[in-house]
Amino acid sequence: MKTDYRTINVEVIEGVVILTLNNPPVNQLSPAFAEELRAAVEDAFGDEAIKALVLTGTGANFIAGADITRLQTVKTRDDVFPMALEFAQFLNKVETGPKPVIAAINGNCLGGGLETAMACHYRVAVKDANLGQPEVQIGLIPGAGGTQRLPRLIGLLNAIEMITTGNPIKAEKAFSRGLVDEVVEPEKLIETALKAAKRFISGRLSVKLRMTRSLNYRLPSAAEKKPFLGYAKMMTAMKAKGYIAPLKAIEAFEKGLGFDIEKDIETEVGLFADCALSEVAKNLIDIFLNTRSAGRLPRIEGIQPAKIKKVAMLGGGVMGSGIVNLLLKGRFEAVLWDINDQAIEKGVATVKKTFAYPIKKKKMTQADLDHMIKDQLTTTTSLDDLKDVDLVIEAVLEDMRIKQDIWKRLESICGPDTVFATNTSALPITEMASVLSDPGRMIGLHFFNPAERMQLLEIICAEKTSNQTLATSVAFARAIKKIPIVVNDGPGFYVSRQLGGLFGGAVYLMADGVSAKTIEDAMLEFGMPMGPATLSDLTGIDINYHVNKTFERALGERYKVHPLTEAIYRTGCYGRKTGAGFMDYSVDPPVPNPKVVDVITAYLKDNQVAPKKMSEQEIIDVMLALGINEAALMMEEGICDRPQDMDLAMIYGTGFPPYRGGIFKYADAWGIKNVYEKLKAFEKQYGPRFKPADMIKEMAESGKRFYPA
Amino acid sequence: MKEVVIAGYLRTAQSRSRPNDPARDWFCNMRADELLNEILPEVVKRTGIEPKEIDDFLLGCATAVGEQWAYGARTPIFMANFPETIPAKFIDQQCGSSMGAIHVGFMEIVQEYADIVLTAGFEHMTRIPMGGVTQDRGLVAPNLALYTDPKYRHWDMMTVVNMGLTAEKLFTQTDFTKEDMDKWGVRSHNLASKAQKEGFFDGEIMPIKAPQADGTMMTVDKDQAVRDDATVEGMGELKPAFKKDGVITAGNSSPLNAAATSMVLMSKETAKKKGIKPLATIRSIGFAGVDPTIMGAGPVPASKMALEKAGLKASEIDFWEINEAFCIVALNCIKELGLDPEKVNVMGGGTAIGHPLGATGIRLTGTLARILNLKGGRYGCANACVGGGQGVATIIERENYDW
Repeated sequence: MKTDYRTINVEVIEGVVILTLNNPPVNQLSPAFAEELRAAVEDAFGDEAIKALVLTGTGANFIAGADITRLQTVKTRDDVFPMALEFAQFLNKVETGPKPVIAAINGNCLGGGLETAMACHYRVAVKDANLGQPEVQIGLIPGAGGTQRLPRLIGLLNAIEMITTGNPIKAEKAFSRGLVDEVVEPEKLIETALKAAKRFISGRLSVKLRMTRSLNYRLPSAAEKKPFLGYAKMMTAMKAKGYIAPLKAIEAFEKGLGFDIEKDIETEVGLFADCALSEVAKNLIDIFLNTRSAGRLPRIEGIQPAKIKKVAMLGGGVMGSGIVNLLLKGRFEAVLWDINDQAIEKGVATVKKTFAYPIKKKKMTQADLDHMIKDQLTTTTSLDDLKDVDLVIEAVLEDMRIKQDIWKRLESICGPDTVFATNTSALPITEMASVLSDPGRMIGLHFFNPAERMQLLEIICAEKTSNQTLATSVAFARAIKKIPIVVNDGPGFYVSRQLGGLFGGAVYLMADGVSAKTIEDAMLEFGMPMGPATLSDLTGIDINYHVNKTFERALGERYKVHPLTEAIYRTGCYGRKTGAGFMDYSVDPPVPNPKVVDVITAYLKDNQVAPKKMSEQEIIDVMLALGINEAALMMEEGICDRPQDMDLAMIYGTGFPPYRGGIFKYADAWGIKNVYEKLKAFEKQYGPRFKPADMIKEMAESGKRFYPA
Repeated sequence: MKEVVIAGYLRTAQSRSRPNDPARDWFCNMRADELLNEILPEVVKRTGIEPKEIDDFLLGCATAVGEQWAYGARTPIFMANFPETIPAKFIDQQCGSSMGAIHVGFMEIVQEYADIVLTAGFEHMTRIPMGGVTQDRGLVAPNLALYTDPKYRHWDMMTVVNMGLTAEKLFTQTDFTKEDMDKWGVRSHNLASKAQKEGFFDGEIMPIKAPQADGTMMTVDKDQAVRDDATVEGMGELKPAFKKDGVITAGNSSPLNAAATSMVLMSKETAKKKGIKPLATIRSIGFAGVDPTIMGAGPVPASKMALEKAGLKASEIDFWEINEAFCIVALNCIKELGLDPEKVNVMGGGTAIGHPLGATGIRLTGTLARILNLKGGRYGCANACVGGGQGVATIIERENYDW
């Protein structure tokens, strides 16, 4: 057979052809690659000298899914359906073909990869390999037989879980469920696959029996399918709010799982096409791709990040311990500095606590943690001990003087290449850096709480931050598995100010007689994980108040703190930490806090405002219009310039609903002209806080969008 | 000691199973437990008892894996919403499973540990096929030492687990020809077809609305494998099913089937007290082990045991139901026991009606009781060969229940 494929290495051993898929970086099923795969398989089927086929991959991937960049541009069903169907039908041919095909799963076997493996007659996987159908995570469903073959191999109950959550399973679990036939050490993979091939050739294994389609005994009967899928649909609908793919997957089960698998797969491909054409999928695919490219800024292109091995963490509080957790997991040498032994002891204890959850979940053992701490973590109360670190992350008291003193001292201790990063959430970093003789080495690394879990790292460039410092910081963010979003210095940076803008309309609505509860419900309905009142109670009404005051001072009239906010602040109920804020937490479940309710009632009475009923959509309009306006203002001020990054920041930093794509995406979908009209109306009603940004006005007039059309 | 009567008998039709082409099985979209659930409440009702009066529930099935696993026969009770107070046992005696259920129920009532016993059988050979994929996926996994350790070589497990090969072996030990078997197969279809047309089976089959592969509903009220057009010539052309130059074909052996069967047993006293007219009285039971590579010989010693326990001679039995797992099994039994073929399987046998493994024992016994009633016979014997080398037999007597 032909051996010179661009993306497939061909090797024949005693009548068995090993097709090694080699389409860097991750063996994605691009159209060209899929075409070569088809050609190679058909070639091997037709070659009399070949008795069996082994499919395997290079590097860490068997096949890590389809090439979804292609889906970003699809507009009509014809752009999706025929191509997907063609690949699905190719897999049907693999399954029913004249020769045994063995999948030697060398690594990630996801999406179209798992579908390919399931069309094979035997599956060997290396230990720890990931197998899954992650399509729903980008708004899709399997589109090459996944919904029809997976239940036959592992039963409907397991299949529905894997397909509706998109979470992969490890090879070991796949083995216990019957998804793979053998799990082996990587060096035994090909040998084992060849042995299996021999068993087919000698007739001890039968292609006919091994075809996934013949495993009908796992299919549900009509009478059990109906109530079970009904139940699954109900449960999924509760969780899936806004996402359509999990329900489409269930529809594929509902309409399929019959005895004509090829017909059912065609139905699946149709449902896949529905998903691929949906706005939700486009948003999720954009997020997926933008997440991969986040931090790849033109200004640091070609700059080699400095090697970071040893990192100092200043301050072992909640944030500091969370960051130490990341350093340990990232295999860095970590030095924890704090003011005295007591603080150090407390800090180390808090670090250990951050690992309680993974230990409880058996993702690691206590012994692993003890080793990590012993091998990687040192502590000190002396800044002099930090002379050989590559990076310092500072999370001490939010006091400009204290911070500046520390940095000044460190500048005389550390080498000239050590990067200085502050985790301040409110202080101007440009000012902080001004005390350094080389302000270019300073940058803001704004972690989100809990640092060990939140995926976002907001990287703040001060006025003089060097490109080298930025490049190293972005690389460091990736090394600790964070998504780096780069913004410029300004009050609240991007995320805090954007969230303030998004939830800032709440007080105007309350002052207009809308109940806090309705606002809360509307934002939940919109898809936020919590509403403004709940968030205030969690972060602290006093903290929010001070942040707002900072905005007022720094940004002027538009940000004048609302009198009702002042009144609520004066109650002294600051949220959960004081036992009551908007809600009273002394009872379970919490009830509205009478003190705050009284203040609001009094305010309404004084201003002769009657309680007002407002629809969820009207509330969402007010909130989002203000949020979008804030985004535009920040772009005008130069705090941010890449809508796709800013949208990621809100999604990963605040839980903005991914299926909506982000604030900028939402603005484009709503239409900037509509946003502008709304803002003008709201400005009339609620005052200058809602005055449309110049940028919005211009965009509305010129028909521009944030994202390219 | 109490006498035991058959107070009720009801079954589903027996669809024809095709594991490799499921859509053609009329019951492809129903599980075995769902088939059973159609008939259980009905047989109880038709017998004229209340579910709460049942002292034990015994369910036979030959392949209790996958969806046929029934939590020790408790899930059918749950599905029927019967009282939780009914205990249950799952009985696996392979092809003798539901006859095994009759036997256990019989003994429980005779010994006065129970008074009313509901017995049942189910098997769905499309959804849970024999061997093949179930074996391949490890749902059925005999100890491999039995196949490979020299100390077990004499068992010849490769033959033991392949019913067709055991039938081939039985054939070689008899003087019958392939044509004898084919003729018997045609006779089976002809008799069953006639009985079907005359409505005989309507008295034991409960029609079931079954969802079909194409989404339509179909009322299934007759056995799917019975052929109206069977001829010896046609049968002669069928290819050997189990080995290259073999003689066992689809024409002289039973098809694969899906069905559920049920039978209510009770003491004769209770039947009288309740004014229930039984179908027959169970006189004796028999069970025997034989060489597993010729399991088809099993019915002979099992029947002998039952005859001896009942104090009867083979010639005193008016009608026989011999399970035609293979025609050679019936032919061999006829010869060994010296039977009149005209008294055997008079409504057709397993070749035509089918053989849903674990469900068959009740079908044989129930049909036999109805034959005795229809034809005015007194004694009847039902027997079956059993995979793994066994035979089971049950002798019943039709009496005058003048109450």
